[in-house]
Amino acid sequence: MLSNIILREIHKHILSFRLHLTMILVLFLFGLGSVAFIKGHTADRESYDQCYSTYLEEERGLAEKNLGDYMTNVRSLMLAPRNDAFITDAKEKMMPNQFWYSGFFVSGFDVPRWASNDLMKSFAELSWVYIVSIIVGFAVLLFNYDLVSGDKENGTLALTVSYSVSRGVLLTGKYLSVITVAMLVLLPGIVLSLIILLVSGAVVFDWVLLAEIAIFLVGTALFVACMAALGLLSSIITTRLNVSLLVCLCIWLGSVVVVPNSAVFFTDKLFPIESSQSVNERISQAKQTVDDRENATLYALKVSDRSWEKIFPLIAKYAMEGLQAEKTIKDAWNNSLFRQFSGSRRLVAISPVSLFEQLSEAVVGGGLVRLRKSWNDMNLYQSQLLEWFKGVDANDPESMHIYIPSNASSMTWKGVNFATVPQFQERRASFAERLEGARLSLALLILYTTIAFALSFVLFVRYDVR
Amino acid sequence: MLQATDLTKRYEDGLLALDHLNLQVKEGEIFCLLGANGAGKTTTINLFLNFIEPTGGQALINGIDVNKDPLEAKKYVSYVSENVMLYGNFTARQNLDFFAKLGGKKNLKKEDYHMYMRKVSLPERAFEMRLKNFSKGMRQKLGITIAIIKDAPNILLDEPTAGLDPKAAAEFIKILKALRDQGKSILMCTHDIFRAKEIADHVGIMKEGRLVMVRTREEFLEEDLEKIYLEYMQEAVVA
Amino acid sequence: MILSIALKEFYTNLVSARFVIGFLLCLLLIPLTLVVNINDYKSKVTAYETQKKEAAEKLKIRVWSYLQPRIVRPPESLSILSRGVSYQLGNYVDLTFTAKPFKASGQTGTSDNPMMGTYFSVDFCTILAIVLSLLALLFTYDACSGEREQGTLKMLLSNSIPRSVVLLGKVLGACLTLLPIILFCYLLCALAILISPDVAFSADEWLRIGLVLLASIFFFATFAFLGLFVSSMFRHSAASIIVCLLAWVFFLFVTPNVSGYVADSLLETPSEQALAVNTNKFTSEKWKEAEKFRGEQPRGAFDWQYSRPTAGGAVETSGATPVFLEWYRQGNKVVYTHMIESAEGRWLLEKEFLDRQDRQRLLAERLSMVSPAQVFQLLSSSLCRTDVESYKRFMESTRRYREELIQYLRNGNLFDSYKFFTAVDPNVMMTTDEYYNYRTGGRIKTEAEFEQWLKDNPGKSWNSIYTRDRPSVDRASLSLLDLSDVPRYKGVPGGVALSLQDSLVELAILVCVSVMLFYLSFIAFLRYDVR
Repeated sequence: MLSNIILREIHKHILSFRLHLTMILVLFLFGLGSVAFIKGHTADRESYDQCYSTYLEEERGLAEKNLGDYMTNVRSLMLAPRNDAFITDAKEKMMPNQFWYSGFFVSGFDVPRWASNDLMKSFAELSWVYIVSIIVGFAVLLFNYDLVSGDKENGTLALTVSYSVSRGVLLTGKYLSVITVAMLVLLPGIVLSLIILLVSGAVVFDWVLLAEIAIFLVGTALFVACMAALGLLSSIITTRLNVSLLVCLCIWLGSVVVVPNSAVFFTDKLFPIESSQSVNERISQAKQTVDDRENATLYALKVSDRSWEKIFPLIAKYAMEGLQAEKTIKDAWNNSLFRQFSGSRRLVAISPVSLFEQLSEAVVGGGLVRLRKSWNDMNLYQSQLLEWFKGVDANDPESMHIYIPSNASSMTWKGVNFATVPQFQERRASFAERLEGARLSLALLILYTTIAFALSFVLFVRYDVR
Repeated sequence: MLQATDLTKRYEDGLLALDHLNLQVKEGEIFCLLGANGAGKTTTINLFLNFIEPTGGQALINGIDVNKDPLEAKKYVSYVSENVMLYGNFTARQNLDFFAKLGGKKNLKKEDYHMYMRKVSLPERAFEMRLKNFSKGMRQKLGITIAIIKDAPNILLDEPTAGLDPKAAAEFIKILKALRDQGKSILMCTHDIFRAKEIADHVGIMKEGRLVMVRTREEFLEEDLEKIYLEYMQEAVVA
Repeated sequence: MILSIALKEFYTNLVSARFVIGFLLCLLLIPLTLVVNINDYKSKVTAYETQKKEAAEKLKIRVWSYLQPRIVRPPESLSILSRGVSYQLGNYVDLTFTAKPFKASGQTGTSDNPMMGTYFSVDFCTILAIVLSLLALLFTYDACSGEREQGTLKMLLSNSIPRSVVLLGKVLGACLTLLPIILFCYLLCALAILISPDVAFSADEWLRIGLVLLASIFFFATFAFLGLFVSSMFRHSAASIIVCLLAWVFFLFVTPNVSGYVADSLLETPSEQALAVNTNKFTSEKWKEAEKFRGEQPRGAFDWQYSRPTAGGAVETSGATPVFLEWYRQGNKVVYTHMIESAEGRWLLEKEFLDRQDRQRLLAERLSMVSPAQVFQLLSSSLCRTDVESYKRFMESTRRYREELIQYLRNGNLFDSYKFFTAVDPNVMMTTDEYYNYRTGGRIKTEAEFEQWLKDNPGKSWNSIYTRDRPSVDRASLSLLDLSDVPRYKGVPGGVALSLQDSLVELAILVCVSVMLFYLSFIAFLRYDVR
């Protein structure tokens, strides 16, 4: 009975005009998105490789000339463009992906201002997630706004219910058929996209990528199930076809436009952070205090006592103090940034579309998951680098072994073979870590779907089919 | 007067919906067009109302060719469709008001509309009731009221008594008789042989686009109209 | 006749669910977006105040080479209606001699948290576009097909009434229904502006809002006619609504992103980082060349108190021998002439980059004009002065002002004056001999003696013979320059006429598309099968 209903519903949908139209649109977007991605990604990779090789050259130059200079130099390192960004770009072009660091201190991250054309209005990339969340999410609502109220208006609902089929089975059948049809609409698009990507050779397909694609499809099915449940619910609650369409449109608008749009405003109110101006003021004040103490101590020395041997230890001591003060303030602020951003994500969790985006982002290990992990790894790397350096410096008899973060004169001046210097390698998050990042969105999506479907079930049992 | 001269309609896919129809409805006459579903009755009405264009022949309303001068011709005809739907959110009187103005009657007042509705025996409570709450019988009555208000000399009806209970149908037929007596030409498509026998001055049977038989009142009262009709229908089925 | 039909449409629409829900949507979304945008505007005003203070501080200079005025662009209050690119670009420019203004600096975005850049904010015009277009489609998608399905179309056309009249009546009815909603939205906007203490509009701004209102009406008409056209192409409302809604999603949501993304992939812009490396290299090489023009530092030229170089490479000397001061003064004219010329060379590199960026932007804009919604957005951001053209005009005005300043300095022969680089009187400065005498407490009396001492004591540091610190002047005690004569920055030209000129193409497109769609619906409806 259930399979009977499902097959009938699927057949009805496959013949429908709306499915054909949606499929054309979806295919077009997947094709266009993949082609544009290939061009863009290749260009991004090229410019990144260029940047990175320049960076390596400079590093090599410094390290082989004067290791002390190498350690004190403040430079930036960018994260590479992701291979799987065609699944979701996770808005990484608008997220910070550039870290500033020296051997002594990782000072922060920012969005490289030159990453995108600032004359152009920002746009979302035509990734799989975008197409699914905007178009397929919309199409799902289009398919099922009249699932129940439509059948009621054309009389087939009464007819079906007059048979000995339980209402629960009928509803489940309709629901499952919508999900199946939505996935059927999606699949040709995904296949087309994969073919284009394979043929172009711009993306290397390894096991990790294939696993990501598979998990993404599961996530998509969950998202489709959620939207379908919401559409089903609105179809049952409202007795008239027009009204259920309107309600579905409002749900979609709310999820796609209203909730993400108000995120910044409400996040500022609910999870405020200190302004960067105030943070910088505090840092300069703290540094000024240390500077004042340093100057007082230095000027207390007699002019004739001001030899390098006497001065350096003092300068080093105060420099480390100043660094420590800055580091404490900066670390606290960076943590508050993460806190605020996580807070904003919880705020937008009302919207299934945002949840799906966060879920996909975790699946590919991009966006916030990637930033957090790289930030932690960067800090780890910096402390490892410092330890390694101290070991090398200890072996240099000419070094004073005094570590000043901004001045290399009291450390080893020798250069080393660049191959021995520890380099930062970005490690992509493991699947366990990604699951950790996906927990909230996964749980909420399942929750919404379950509640919407359960409610629909309960209401449908008492539904007036006349 | 309504007149069809060699009226033909062939669709693009080759289907001959109407084949050289010749009929005439004079003043003060009711012509009932009988026939199976798809025989061409509704096509005839559509041609008279310029909803579709004929591939041959002419449809004349009071001598005006409907296809050449539809706006002029439509001044002289009223139409009652099979399912009188009208505007569901408006009351009966508001619907009448709208269509009256369309038909050129701009100065009617509320009481006038009420009077018209009483004439067709619509219950008082229905006057200011929204149309979506009307039963089928009430809607058909409202449809004929619109025609009465327009006061055009010709009336076209498409299955007006389909789905009506006997009492409502009887009332409707009574109204038609009164209109006929006023001198209107009425062309009515119907399945309802009983009512056709009751009021028709002429009866025509259509089969596959052709008018295969026409009888006057005297003629078909003598014959067994039901038997003849069924015979034609049988042939249609067998053929 | 038309009026009867229009009024009938109006009353039918008024009591329908779509009107109520549409009205509620506006009531909910418009105030929300206004609150958010007024809030963002407030933070812009705060930043502007800070920068103005800093700009005033920058004018407290003692030497002409430090003249690096900051031009701050006032925040655009109309950004509440249409954000344009105003939150992506900086709002101040620091002028220097050595480079033409390239890009405006300043914080972009609305949050100090760089991660929050992933959220977008929607302005009044965007919400209006989304809701209006949806409502326009929802009210007209069944104009023909709905009446046909209802059976009332046959009833209408069985009367002596031309089809054109029916169509015009429906159009008028849709307008009558939706015009109040548009006006209501603008009323809310006007109310929010009048109530909010942070925003004040002048007559010019109200005029611009009026023009945006006019544009909205054309925009809404375009979608109404689109709905009408789709309705007249289909016999069933169910099909018509699908097409309308998919078109709506395509025009409102897909096109802006696709056009940007495609333009980004089709036209590559060179890396700004590479440009920065090149231009910095260029400028520093020019500096090296320029410094060579000074010639060798003559004997007796010695400086001991000077500031760190500014962003423009200027150095204020407060402690030097007269010989040094004279030598330095003579060199300055040549050096700065050379550097000002080199600024043109640097500008060539930067202009090429900016042009390429602009080309990419133009491509994205042109591609996006497929969608009437985008055309409306471009039009409104142009009228609200938040578009790229307004920004470019601002940047051009700062470049022109820089030329004015340079001319002023040239006219006053200020480049080769002492005041260009030092606030001290050369006549009272120590000579080299006096300097060594002072620092060694009299032990060494001349420069020659000091050099001898160095020869006699190899390996010893200078500090071992100094008993006094360097003679330093308290800069705060020196007088500031009087800048009352200096030409002031006059602001950006631009009235409503200029904005209209910028947006003529978009306006024309909106009008043409709506007329064309109306014409097409007209033709289609004349042949519409009413059965």
